[in-house]
Amino acid sequence: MSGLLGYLQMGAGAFSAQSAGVAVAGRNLANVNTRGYSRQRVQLEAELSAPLVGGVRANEPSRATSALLSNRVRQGTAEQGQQRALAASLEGLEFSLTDRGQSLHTALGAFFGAVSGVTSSPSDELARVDVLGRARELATSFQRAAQSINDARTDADRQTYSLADEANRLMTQIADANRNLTSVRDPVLEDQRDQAAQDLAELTGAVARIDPDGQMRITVGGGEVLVDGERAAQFQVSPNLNNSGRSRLEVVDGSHRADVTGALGGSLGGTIQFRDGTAATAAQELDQLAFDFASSVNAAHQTGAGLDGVSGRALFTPPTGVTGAATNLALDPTIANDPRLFAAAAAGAPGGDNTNALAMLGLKDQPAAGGNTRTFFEEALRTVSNVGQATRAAVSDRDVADARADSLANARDALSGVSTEEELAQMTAFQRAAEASLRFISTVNEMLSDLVSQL
Amino acid sequence: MRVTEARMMQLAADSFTVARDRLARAQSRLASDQAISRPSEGVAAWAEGQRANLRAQLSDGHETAIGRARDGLVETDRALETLGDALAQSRELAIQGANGALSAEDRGFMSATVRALRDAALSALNTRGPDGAPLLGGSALGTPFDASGNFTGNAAVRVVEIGEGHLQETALSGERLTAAHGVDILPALSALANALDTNDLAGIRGSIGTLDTATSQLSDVRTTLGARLRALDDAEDSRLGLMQSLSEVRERTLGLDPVDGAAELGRAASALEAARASAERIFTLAQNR
Repeated sequence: MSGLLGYLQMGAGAFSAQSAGVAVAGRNLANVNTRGYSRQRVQLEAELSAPLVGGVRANEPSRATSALLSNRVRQGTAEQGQQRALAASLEGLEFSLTDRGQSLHTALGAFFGAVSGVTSSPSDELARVDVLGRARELATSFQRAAQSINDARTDADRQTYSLADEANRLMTQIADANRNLTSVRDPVLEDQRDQAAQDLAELTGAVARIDPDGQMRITVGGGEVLVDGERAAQFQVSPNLNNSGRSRLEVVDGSHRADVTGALGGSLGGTIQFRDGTAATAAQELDQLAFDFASSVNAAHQTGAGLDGVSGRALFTPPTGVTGAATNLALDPTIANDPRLFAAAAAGAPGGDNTNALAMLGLKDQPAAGGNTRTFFEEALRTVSNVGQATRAAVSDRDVADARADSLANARDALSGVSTEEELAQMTAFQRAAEASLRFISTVNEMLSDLVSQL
Repeated sequence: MRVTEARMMQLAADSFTVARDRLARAQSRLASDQAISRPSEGVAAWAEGQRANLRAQLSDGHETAIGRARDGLVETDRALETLGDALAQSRELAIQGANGALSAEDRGFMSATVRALRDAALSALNTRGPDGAPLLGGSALGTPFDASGNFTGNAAVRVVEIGEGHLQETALSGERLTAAHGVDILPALSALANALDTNDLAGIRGSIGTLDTATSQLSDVRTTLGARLRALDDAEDSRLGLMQSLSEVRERTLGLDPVDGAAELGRAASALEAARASAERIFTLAQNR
């Protein structure tokens, strides 16, 4: 009789194990669309059969994952995040600098065209009004271009604050998951931790590893620790006075503080790379061009005389320095209100003289920009072309990163994704096995009943 | 490789998005007639196109300069023609007036005629252009010839850029009509009129030689004017050729070949249709399961 009771126990254990299989298949089906979920498989293990019972038990479900693949997915996601952020910012800046009819090089051409008009008719008020109008438009173009670059950098700055907040949330989530996983091994919690690590990689380029103790540790460029077991550092964003008040990112953990502004990857890294790289260079080049242009034109204008015979006036408000020259470029207010003061004539020459206007027109062909190596137009073209070149490279890199991320996503899905058909098949198999176990229990029960009735 | 339904549907949706973006880009290019609108689409071509745009912009300025200069020189030539007529008629009157048989009264009438001719020439030579500047004053803005016919302007000649790197003198100074280049022409007419008024036969006969010199001097001035007009015409011909060339450069670098544009639009539309059909099939299969 004790043998029959043992069989009964075996049947119950088998039913329980098969039911676990049904449950796991059901859980997989329920999470078919859950982001970051890894399909699970119940691990059935045969019980030892001595003396004559044996049976089966269900161990804890295992996740269909690969640490190596997860690592590669995080790397691919980090690269994708960085290139997408960089490409998006550069595309926006390039668009604003080349918006038809508002480009700097178009305004330069219009200005010199108007100066040409004055050389033909130096005493003609309409020609003078036209040249001042074009000069004003040119100054506006410089201001607009500088504003576009500044706006783009300011947007990038704002993004660093919000991205850093999101990164902090993820780091805290990972540390909490590490804490909870020390007491209970929950595959879903592990999935959530993995997903948070992937999201953090996309944001910061962070590198994660799972140590033998099951705890996830995360570092960022330069080896700064973001998460160490249950402990999470925090990103702190503050204005950097050495960089015109632009944001600086530091990793803060207790009394430890490290500047990681230039060492990040992911979206944050791409955003900062745009802000402090191409955009910063474009701003500097634009300011230098504005400074060189205003200085050269003013020097030429000052040697000439207006219709009132007075010389020594500047056409543009003299720049005080290179930084901010584009933003501050403006027509001299005295000349702006009186076209007669435009210095078309040579000093001491009558009002019909056009010598000085001709000299100003000649500036268009002189290499007075780019360290006296390029004309103003070529320098303006070069500044915009540099942004275009960077955009082209970033878009290409983004496409490559997207393709790689897609490929890794396919690989991850192949390993860890939930297939509805597979799970339904699994569920059916476990269901049949559970039914068979119930049948076995019923048979043993009948035998026990027969035996008891004989006693 | 194992592919789940969810992944298939995601890939189908992504493909549809990519195809739709491609179609949008093709439509935008065809509508704008531009293959390249910003440097990231082709840095070298974009830069070359912008350089062509600038040269075309400046060439428009050259067209204006040529037009204004041409108008000024044509007006100047009319004024010089009036002066030439005055010189020719005055010379005839001088020859007649040198005849001792004429009476003082006759010479008086001749003097009045010469003065009228001189005044007409003076008025013509003091003509101002559309910008209000005198045609023959050099760079001075005042009236070039005073009431006595003396030149009060200067010898400056306006130089203007009429082509790429092409500077050209585009006006004449009334200084060419003064003793610096022969004789003071208008005062010479006044001198003849005075000689006729005072029956100064020697003075009248002397004027004939002066007027001959003036006529030759004027001929030189008009020859120079003609050369400058021809230079302007040549510059305009060159400019038109340059504009044609620049238009071709812009078309080649920035423009969209309509056949290529239409072909790409067709390909993009086909790709979108294929992506849509594929997505529909995948979604139907998933639904049937």
